[in-house]
Amino acid sequence: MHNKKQIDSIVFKDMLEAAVSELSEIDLSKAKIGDKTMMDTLNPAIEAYKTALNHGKSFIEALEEMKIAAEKGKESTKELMAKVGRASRLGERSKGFLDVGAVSSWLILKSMADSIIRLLTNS
Amino acid sequence: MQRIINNPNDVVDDMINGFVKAHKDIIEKTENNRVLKYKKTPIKNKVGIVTGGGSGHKPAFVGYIGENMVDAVAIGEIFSSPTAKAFYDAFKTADSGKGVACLYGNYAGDNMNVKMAIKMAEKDGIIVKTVIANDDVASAPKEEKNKRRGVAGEVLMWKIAGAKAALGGNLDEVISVAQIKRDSA
Repeated sequence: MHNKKQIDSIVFKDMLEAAVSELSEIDLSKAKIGDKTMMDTLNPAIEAYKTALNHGKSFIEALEEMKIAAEKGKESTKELMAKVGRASRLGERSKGFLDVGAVSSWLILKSMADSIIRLLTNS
Repeated sequence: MQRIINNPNDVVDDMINGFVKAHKDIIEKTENNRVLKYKKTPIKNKVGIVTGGGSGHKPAFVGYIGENMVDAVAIGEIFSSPTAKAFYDAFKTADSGKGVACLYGNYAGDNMNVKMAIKMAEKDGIIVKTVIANDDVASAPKEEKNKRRGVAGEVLMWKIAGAKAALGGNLDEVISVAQIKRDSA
């Protein structure tokens, strides 16, 4: 990926996959969907992006799908009980609040998608 | 205890500015506004000592910067892990070519970000080894020792490791004494 001069929908897919696999590799706690972490946003968002591409959707359409799934994943953390990290020490009291990692990951993905869509639309 | 806060959003920046002002003779800012260093760092032929963690509970961590102690500190937001970039910049700041010992506490965010930072540093040819403090016996039972948080035991690690580094120990020796200290806490 470092050698690519242009980012197309496939290179972007590779980037997303690399991000998740690197995180899974270094993360001792092996956080998964439902643990109330950034993975609750990242995993579904990336799956939605890949599914969209597999169904022949365009780069922009796939990014839109990714945004929708990221938002849903982020919102899903509200009622979850934290299983990982500092919040896990609160147990039941962690329910009713969005996870910060999930929110910041959503912001990042959303901003990336919006910027790319803007670039693609203007070119 | 009284706290005087100008604006909650500026708490960490204000803390850093005030601390640097109060300790101009020991501490310096770096290009990263979340990394502070010992004035003399990097010190030639000495292993760099780095730590980092969340803000909100001085003297951890910036209060331990100094001679034969910590060379550079990665600063996180209130009770939050420093970013991977902050750790990476702290490694770069502390390294004089003999490698860096990153001695930090066992927290989910810190573990993740330190690991990411080490990968980034590796690309620059900087060798970083770690010892993770897990001395808070209240946070997990003996059988799950590796889940325990690091608290005051970290200070002893820095002291011992800082001394070994100042005496000319190589990276493995510095790590080894820190580990012995960690395991006996």
